[in-house]
Amino acid sequence: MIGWALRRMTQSLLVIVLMTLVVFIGLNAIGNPMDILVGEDLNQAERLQAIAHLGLDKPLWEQYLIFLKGVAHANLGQSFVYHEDAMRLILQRLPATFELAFCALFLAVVIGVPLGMFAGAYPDHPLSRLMMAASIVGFSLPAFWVALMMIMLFSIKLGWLPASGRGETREWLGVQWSWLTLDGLQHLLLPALNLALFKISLVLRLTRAGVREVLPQEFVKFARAKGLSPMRVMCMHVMRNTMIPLVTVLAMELGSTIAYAVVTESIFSWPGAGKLILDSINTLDRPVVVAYLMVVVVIFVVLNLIVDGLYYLLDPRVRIEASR
Amino acid sequence: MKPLVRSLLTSALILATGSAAAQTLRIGYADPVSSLDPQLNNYAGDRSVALHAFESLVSRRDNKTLPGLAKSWKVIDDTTWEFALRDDVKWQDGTPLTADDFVFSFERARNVPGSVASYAGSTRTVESVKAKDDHTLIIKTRTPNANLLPDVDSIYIVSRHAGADASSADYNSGKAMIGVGPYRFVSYVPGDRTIFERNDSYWGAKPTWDKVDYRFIANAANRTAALLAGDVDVIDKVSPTDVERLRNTPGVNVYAYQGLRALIIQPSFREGPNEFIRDNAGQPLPENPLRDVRVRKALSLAINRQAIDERIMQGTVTEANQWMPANTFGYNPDVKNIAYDPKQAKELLAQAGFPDGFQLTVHVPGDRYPQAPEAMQAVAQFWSRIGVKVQLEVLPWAVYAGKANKNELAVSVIAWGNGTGEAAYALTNILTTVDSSKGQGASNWGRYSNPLVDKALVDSTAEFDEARRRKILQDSVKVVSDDVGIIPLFHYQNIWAARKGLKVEPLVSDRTAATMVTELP
Repeated sequence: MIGWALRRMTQSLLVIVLMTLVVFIGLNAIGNPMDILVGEDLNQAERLQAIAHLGLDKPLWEQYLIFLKGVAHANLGQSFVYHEDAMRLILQRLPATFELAFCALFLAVVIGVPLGMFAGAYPDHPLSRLMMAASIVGFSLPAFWVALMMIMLFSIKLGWLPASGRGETREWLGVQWSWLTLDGLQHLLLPALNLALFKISLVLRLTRAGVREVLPQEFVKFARAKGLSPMRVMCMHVMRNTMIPLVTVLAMELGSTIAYAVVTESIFSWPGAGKLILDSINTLDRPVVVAYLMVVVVIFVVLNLIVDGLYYLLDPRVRIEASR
Repeated sequence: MKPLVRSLLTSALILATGSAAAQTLRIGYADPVSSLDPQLNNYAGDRSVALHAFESLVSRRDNKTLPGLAKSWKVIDDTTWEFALRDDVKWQDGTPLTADDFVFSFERARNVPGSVASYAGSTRTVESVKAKDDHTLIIKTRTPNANLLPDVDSIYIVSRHAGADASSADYNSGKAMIGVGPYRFVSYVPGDRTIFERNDSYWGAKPTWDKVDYRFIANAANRTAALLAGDVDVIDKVSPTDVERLRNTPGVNVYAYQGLRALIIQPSFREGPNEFIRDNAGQPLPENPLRDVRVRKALSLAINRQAIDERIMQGTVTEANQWMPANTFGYNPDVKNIAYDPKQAKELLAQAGFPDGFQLTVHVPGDRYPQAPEAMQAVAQFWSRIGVKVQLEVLPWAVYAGKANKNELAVSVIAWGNGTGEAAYALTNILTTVDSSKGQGASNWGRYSNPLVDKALVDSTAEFDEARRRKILQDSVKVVSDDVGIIPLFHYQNIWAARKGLKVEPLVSDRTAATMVTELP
């Protein structure tokens, strides 16, 4: 177990180092951040002073070494644009993204799993066929277009829900959250639903496939023969066995939602980390981009660990293997 | 779903009416803000947000300077200015404002750690700032600078007692956010919003709003949607494509005003071959044809500016024939609109030795200036009609800015803000010969150079007689126009939209602040 964990850590570290190299070289190839940031009316001496202040006057390899030195001291550098600690900026934004991603995940599970179970149990029911058709739409419509349509319909035409921003927030555990206020929930609903649309379809289809696969198996017949109620058979025995692939996929989906909620966040002006990273790439704000990607890698590693743990709980076979 | 929606709807209504009673103004604005430190970066967004909490020595409008924290001023000699300060102004924490705060502010503005777009340009001619007594300020300049007022106006005044050891982060956290302005700081989330409340001890007229929610919404379509959905009360920089629709929406008022920003084409004056200028066979031309005034004139005459205004910009711009719009200091009324004349353009090209034109690659940033790619697409078509076969390349600003700055392009486009509201600012930065030691031509991407223009800048800066200075600037406009040193296209209007019942009046340039919004009776 320890050996396995160590291997995981080394792999992740290697990924992080490679990623920072790619970002350094890549952003440098796009252009010079000073060309974007520098004041239009500064003379050469004033420009050089600003460049030196950001450390951009040094050769790239030296900038990279300075960055590595900073990392060793848990300092990922200052944002070129905001003049704040890059990590602090990201951590300030992450709760908004987490909130959105978890809300989307919640919707996906709450809507997708029951519908999927139904569709799996009654594959020929007209409702099931309708759901399957609808899920294709959920898969194939681009999220940004659906988001625009949602704003047009629910915000502008009907005026039911706000079109942008986070609304009122309330502090909990030292962080501002939207879901603790009614106004915040209203602001949350559309972007979360937009982000969840793809996931609902995915969960629905996975659950349906799982149920179809599990239903004909011997233990289900046995459970029925034992006289368990159909509800109990479905909820306890079938559902549990369909959960394993679902958990893997959902965890990976959660990771990518947190990392790349960029489109939804931009369209709904949701002040999360995705919007920050997009703005930062546009301004070649390297410290923020690097720090953000490091956070993303860490999130994926942690999620992987959680998934492995969940396997352990859900699948007795893993437990037996581990105890051997 | 239905009861849920209904309850959401009712609660939304309750919230909406609740906020209306509390007199909150919610603004959705476009320009990114880098910091609340009013002296860190001279960016449009930073200047707008600072307008709520901070003020400067004088108060500027697009065509004149008004008294601000200084009641009056006089020029003692060519290099000495004396400002009489108001004695009834208090900082938001109750401390009285004194001349020493101005001394501190000018010292700090020169060198704020971390600044990349500093106010060094505005303080370049200032040699010293001294307090004669608590309410008299003496500013000495290195050289005679008749144009000092717009320069000192750009420096926001911060307090010595709260700001002496403050970093930019202390402004962002609110610790040092103590100004003399009409609104006081409540909270700030970088890249999202700033919240202000009324400063009841404000020295001027009582500010209109109890609370200001100042929200960053970068995308123009999102701002329009936010206004239509009732998320915000006012939006700025309305996209030309949305203006018509908003005008036809009941419950929304559109306010469009003549702006200062000009979209300008800068031809490259670089000598020798240029990879973006080729003959009709595709071989680079040995000499740069854009150096020939006849070619530049042909390119300018070939553009139908009226059509661009009407069709592409939907009537939200005014045709430009020089870099300043009408009714500003230095605008030359004798320079007339450039008539669309493709026939003469073709003749001029033939005279210059290009009867069949040549191939030209034009670059434009796609994510910086509103509708610039669309406008340049039209320009490309017009140029193609006189035989100059144009390939238009739209680049992200991140890539474009570096290339343009190094004069690597053949034709670049700049939207110059004319922020000071007078002609000399553009002379200094985009028209005079590039000379970094003098701080000239910082954004003269085409490297245009004309001794007459250089001389005009020197003369105008030293000329204290307003009428004569105006004449010098106007003459330089004529020189640039005859020489086609730049090809002006149009001046953007500044467009705001607000929910019914609100009126938006411009303050200066394209800034957006709560002080500009009032309730209609």
